[in-house]
Amino acid sequence: MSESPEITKSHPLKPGRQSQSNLAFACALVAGLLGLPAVAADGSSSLADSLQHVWKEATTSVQFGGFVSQGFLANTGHNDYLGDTSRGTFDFREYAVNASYAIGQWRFGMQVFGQKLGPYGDDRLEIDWATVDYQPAQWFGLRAGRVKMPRGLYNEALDVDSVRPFVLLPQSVYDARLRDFNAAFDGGMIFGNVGLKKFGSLDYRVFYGDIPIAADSGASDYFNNDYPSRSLNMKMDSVRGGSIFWNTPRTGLRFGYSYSAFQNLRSTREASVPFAPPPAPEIEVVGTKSTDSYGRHLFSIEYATGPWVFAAEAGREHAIYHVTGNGLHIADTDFTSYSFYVSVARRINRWLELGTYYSYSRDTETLIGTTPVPLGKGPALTQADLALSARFDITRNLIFKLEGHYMDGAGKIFDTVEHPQPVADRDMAWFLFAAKVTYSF
Amino acid sequence: MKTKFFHLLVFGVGMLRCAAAVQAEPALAGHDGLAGQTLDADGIKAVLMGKKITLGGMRVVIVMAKAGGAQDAFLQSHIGMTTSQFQNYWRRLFMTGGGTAPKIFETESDARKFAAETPGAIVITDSANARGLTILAAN
Repeated sequence: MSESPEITKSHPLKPGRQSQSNLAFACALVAGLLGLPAVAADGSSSLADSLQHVWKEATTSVQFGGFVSQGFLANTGHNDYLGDTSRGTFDFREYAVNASYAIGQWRFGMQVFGQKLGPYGDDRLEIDWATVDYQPAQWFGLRAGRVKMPRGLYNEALDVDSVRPFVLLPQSVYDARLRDFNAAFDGGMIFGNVGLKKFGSLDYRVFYGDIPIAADSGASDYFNNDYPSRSLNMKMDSVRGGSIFWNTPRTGLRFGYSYSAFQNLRSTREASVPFAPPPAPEIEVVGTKSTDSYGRHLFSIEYATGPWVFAAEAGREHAIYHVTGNGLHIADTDFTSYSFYVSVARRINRWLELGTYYSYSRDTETLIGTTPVPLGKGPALTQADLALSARFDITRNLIFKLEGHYMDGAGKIFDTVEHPQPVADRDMAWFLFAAKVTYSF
Repeated sequence: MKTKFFHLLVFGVGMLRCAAAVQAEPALAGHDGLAGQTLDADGIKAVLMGKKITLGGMRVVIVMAKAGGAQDAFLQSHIGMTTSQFQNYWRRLFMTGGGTAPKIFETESDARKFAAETPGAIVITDSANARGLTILAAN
């Protein structure tokens, strides 16, 4: 196959500047370094040509992409929400690079990702997703490896700033600190698209796997938010679930339902517990918090028409927790979380997109029976968030976003040993400002 | 003589108008190896949205121009997206391990040339400019 110089400029989602002569030079160099003959014995073809062909195939078939983002967060009052936000923080960035290759019914790909979000992420590089896909039919495919978790409208694209106007997705449903719960799982997934003729089509995904969770992750702090404690480890036996989306005959309108459950989710933790009123000393306790199943339901609707995108999602999460300390059963609690949001975004022109949403969450953890320690915080933890965002497309690859939030309630603040923020001390009406610049390639 | 000339002139103008109309018709075209394949409305949507990844046993390679009138019209009428929205949709899939992104070229001419030389490639183009390509679906 011969290609003109113009053709070698191709790149996924971006016109490239690849030079065929550079490729030829590289192949010739490789061939030379390997001591390969420039011309085959029969004189009809050269090994260098073959290498060049292979190299060209690889560089035109393998797709590369990625992004780098840096943000700033600050809020009024003294709540520290997504890091040290009361004083303002630049500890808010993400970056990733990926490569994928497709041939026939197969596709292989991987993305390496790093982030810093306040105390989480720590700029550690990790494999975000690494998958092998086999899709023999439109209605049936298999994906295995580290797979992005299908959940709701936007979970798989949590980190892809370039596809939305918002700096922060509605946190009631897409809590940025819960990446370990939401981003990906190690396992397998069946997926497909089933045509329904005049009724549109159905996208389905069913998965099973495991999620490694770091003890110092936001997911761990969220799980252990019932009592300030140091998490020593956190595990689950498995995660299973799926999603189904109905793409209606009305173009751009879709409805979905997602479910996931963490089986035998548990954390070992240590805490100082007051078993008697002061001045009696607190007792150091090493215990566990566990649940047989942590279930999550999420209903979704999205309507994209012209420059407008309307979306709404509502979810419920539930678990019965068993708490132990020093080998003794201490308490059982009933945890329920309700969340929803509605959002609207509109592309104004080539360089400006505006968006707004209202997001609400309500977590309750009530005691089942009695307990000697103050578990189950009693009042519901609520937080409402009214956000307004502006996205500026500076160039095709560079975007800048500004966003303001008015928060009513502080139910999503974590109360940890390292950073105590008891409910009684929190600001209940506060503003959060966010800015972020992202370069995608 | 004058009447005959006038009739010829009217006929010529009519033909030119017809030719212009044909030229303005956007179509989904593909590499010659896809000859014999046709796509209905559901098929077009499935292929462009990455739900159907093979055609005629070959991996589909979506080829696009950075911008283009035919492309915009075709995408708008079949999947309700502009070129920019379509690229955003694919960016999301591509960045999350969900698909192989379209190859994008500066001009429609470059995109057509690449599609003509790449097995499995499909491209949106004016049907009048689809020389060397096979038409899979008209607008």
